[in-house]
Amino acid sequence: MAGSRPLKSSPLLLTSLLFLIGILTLAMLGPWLSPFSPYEIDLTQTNLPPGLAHPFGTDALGRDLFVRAWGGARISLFVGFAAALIDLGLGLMLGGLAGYIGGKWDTAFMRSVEVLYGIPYIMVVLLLAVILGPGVFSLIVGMTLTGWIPMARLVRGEVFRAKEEDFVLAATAMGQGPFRILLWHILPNVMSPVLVALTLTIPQAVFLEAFLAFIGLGVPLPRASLGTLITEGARESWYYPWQLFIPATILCSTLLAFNTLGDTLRDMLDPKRGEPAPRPLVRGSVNIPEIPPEKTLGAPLLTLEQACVRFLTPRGELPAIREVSLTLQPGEMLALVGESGSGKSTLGRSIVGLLPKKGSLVSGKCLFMGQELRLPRLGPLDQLGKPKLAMVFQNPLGSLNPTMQAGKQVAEALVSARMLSWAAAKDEALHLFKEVGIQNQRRCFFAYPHELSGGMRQRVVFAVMLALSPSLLIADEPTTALDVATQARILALLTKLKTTRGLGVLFITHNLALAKGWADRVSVLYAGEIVEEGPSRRLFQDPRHPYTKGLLDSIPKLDADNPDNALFALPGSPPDPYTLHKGCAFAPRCPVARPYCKDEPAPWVTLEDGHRARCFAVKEALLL
Amino acid sequence: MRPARSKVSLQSRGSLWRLFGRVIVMLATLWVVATFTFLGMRLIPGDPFSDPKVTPQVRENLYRKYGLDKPLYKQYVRYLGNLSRLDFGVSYVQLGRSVNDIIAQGFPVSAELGLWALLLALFWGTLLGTLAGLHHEGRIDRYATFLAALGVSVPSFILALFFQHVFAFRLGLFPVAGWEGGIARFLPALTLSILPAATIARLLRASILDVLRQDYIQTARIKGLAHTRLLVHHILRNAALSVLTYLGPMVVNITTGSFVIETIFNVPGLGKHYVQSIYDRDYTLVMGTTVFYAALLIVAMFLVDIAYGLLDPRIRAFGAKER
Repeated sequence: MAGSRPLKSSPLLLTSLLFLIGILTLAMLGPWLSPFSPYEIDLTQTNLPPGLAHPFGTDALGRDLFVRAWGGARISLFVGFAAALIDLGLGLMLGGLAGYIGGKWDTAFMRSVEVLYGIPYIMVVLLLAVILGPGVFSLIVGMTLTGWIPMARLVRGEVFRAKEEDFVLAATAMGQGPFRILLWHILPNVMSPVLVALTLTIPQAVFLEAFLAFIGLGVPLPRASLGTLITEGARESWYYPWQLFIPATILCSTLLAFNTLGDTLRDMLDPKRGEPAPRPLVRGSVNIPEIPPEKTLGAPLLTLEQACVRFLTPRGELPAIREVSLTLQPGEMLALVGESGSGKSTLGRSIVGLLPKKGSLVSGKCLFMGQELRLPRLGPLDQLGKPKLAMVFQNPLGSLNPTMQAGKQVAEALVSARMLSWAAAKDEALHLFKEVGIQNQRRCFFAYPHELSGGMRQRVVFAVMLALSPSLLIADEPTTALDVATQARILALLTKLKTTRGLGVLFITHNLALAKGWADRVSVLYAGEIVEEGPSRRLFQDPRHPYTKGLLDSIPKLDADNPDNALFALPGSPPDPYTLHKGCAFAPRCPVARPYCKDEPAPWVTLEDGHRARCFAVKEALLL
Repeated sequence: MRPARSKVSLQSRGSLWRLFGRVIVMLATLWVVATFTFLGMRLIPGDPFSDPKVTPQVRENLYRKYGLDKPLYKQYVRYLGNLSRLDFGVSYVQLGRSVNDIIAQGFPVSAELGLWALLLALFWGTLLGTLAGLHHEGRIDRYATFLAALGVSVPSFILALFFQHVFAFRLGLFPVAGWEGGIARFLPALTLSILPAATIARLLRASILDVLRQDYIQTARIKGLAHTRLLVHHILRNAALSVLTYLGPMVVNITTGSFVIETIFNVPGLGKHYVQSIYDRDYTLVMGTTVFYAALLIVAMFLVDIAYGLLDPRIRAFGAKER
């Protein structure tokens, strides 16, 4: 199945493959398809245009160009395939050995390869063609003399990686011999990048052969490669354009097909392929409405009503967020907790408008300070002179531009959002650095992100976001990459901003302890749905939904000697989002599930203080 | 003003060592090329003076003149000595003609052509790559991607013939060949720029797509930056780094491309002389020029590598990428 799927999913791959098979067949059979010989000179039939007898016409000596063209293609392709296969053989052998043996031998190998690699490939081929005299043999020798090096480096790198894989380590531990391991365990795993390299080496060699033919170092006469034919045709191209046009077209389309095949294969085997396509940068802006100050009084900062996000994927529609409703007050921190894959980050990104444009379907209502934000959104957010949304991402290194000094990234936001001059922005940036607790502000200002520690980077990110003077901050796992002490400091900072600036914080986390310790309210997300929400203290003391209970029970407790506190693991695993049924998504894992839980949507049960849970069991317990 | 950093002295010492290592590797590469060429010259069938018309006495004098009567190792030392003084040898066929003469004559022309091609390639490549990357999977992307694929698949000599035919013969917009006047430079430079431009476009497109996935672009979006600022400072500046790795191979592509382009457009540059000496089978001239080209490219790639280290703040100079 894995073999046939890529062919179906990529028409480009299929087309180029079929085209190449066609060219190869013609190159093999071409000479038999015509009664003429490629070397037979007939001076009565010179320079004929393409016609019935001679489909490609004849040349200045009356030789049939049809057989000559396909014979030429055969020579060109032979050179290409031979060079590529020899490169492959040498590369696999030497690179594989160097990678497998490692140590001193590998170092020596890499040093010598580094020296050879510096020699321009094309000059080696040229020198060889001059020394040995032009010919198929010297071409192939020249091309493979240093041509195997990139392949060997590739294989060596892959072998090094594969050697660390568990299954290879296991095979070694089980006492399998090195050659067996290399052949059976490592080789199959290095094949895909090698295959791509191979597909791209063939056109390179074909190209080089034509190039050499053109500067007079091609296959010697009377044999003719495509390069030779093009060179000959070029001389007469003014009078007999087809003599140039036909071999040139064959050569170019073959090269194009090989390159397309290589590119498509590379994209296909690229591990990044599964990632969502990046958001295209299209002009257009989000309307964050101007809100008169009186309207904001007392109103919630953010309200989501029946928000749904679905992604269109090759497997079908993936419901990531299902009818989520929530509210967030100014100066409040709402924690959104759930396992990975529960849709927490998607929800955060959809509010700020950063979902991939292609393939995301968003519905529902999103009110920011009482005004509706349209979802999904386009382009850079137009936040000038308006209440602001800000978002902090999980990976502090990834969220800073690696090629811009940290301070400049803050100053830039100030210039753009508050219309400050650059000089004023710099002072203000240093100020913000102080506010987020950076000690040496000037040093940090001029440092590039990679020169800062993880905690510092995240502080810089906060400074960038504060530069926007936001009303709402969405913090997507802002402390996950940090150590515990830094975590606490960052959260203390958030709490401070909450009170001093009246900032509303949507704190997305999978860490229940953090949510318990810092959030005012908590919403528990399971499979894209909120299953329980309430004030932090209440919810953690008296969890009602079986999922929340399970989550809390799976936190290790310090007094584990007490048999009541034995560690508990939720049975089963999160559901496959493609096959959700109508009812409660947690039902299959639920210890108290009723038979009808699967089929009927569970009701919301309201408890005290805005504590709510969505569960039949909770409802029935309440009725008892 | 950049504040002093305590780590600086340690870092720069490390990079000096790396630089030293790189120089050693480069010298070793040059030595391999020189040795290879020297041995190759002995392998060439016949001997430049084996022409029967040359009398034994004259032949002996010629041998003495060129040092061919000495033992092989002395010839080798002499050859390396000459190379290190940047003397790339003489033609044994046309007496009095040396590689250095030809270089002095043709290299400035080739360098000018190469520079124009480089500028054009950067312009076209950046434009096409950026358009394609920003309109991922849109119509513009498909056209640009196809053009770029064509650009790397059509050999430069076919393009040259095509452009010459269409723009010079048929339309008469440009001179068919030659190097007189600014307008004559356009077609050769354009042809020479196509392959590097297409490669830049492909690299830049892939790199932009990669950059657009990064969180720092989302951060920049949230900042509400102006389009141009987002594009130039956040997207292009980061995407361009991966294109820099192509600068070395680009120099090679432009140089080797110049061989055929100069021949087709009759540009009096080094490349044309080089191809001519190949046609003439003037072996010593060919070998000398080849060594010159190889040395030029090796040094250029070395310089590009160093420049790359300096341009990417994440890479501590000369190769080591910080994790």
